[in-house]
Amino acid sequence: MDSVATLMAKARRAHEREREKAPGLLLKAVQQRVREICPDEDPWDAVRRMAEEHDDWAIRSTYWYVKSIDSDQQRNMPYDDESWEINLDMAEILIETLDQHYG
Amino acid sequence: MAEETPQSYRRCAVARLARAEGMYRALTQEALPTAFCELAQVASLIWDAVIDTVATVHMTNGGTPSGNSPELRGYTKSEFPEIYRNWGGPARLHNFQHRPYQPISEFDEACRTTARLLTQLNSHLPESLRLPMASFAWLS
Repeated sequence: MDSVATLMAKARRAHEREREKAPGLLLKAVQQRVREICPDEDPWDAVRRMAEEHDDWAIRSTYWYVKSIDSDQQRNMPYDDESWEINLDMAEILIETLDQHYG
Repeated sequence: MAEETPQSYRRCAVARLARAEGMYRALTQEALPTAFCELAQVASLIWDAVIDTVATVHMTNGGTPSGNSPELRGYTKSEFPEIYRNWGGPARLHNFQHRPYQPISEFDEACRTTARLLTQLNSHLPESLRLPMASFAWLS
């Protein structure tokens, strides 16, 4: 199984070469990090619970943004460059936040 | 054209939020899931209000914002990383204007996150320039 860092790198590369795959890879990366902490829980349920436990809405909102851009792609609504930049920022912020909370 | 001031940006933000709330409240619960065009207009007004509010913060701190949204996003990211963590809310509302055919749950989540972000922005403004809480409480 690919590590979170590998999936992030793959997502970045995909954005350059196969844009339609990039949002899915980024979502996979954040889901992988969430599953490392909560292996038996649905990732969206897990982030909502963690956001409440830490009183930190951004845990929820960053994951939700990454999930939304992937949903757009699934519905054949391609993302623009600014949305991608925000998408990467949100994924990085979420991973960093989870690292701070859970090591 | 009149020169922009923190007060004028704040006035614009409050007016846009009031218009957005009026339009949103005019929609019935039954109409909401398919009121794509109306929701796109509401989303656009909220997004613009966020940008006005970031510009208010920027000017209050001595900046001269152009009003350009990527510039104001960059400003938020570099100066207020805690606030930027919730940037996904308004960013989705911005997307919503151009691709409104999305589930209403997406719109609701974007609004809830935007309410958090506006609360955070408000805390960086002097009392006289803060948005009234009631102007955006309806987003939550």
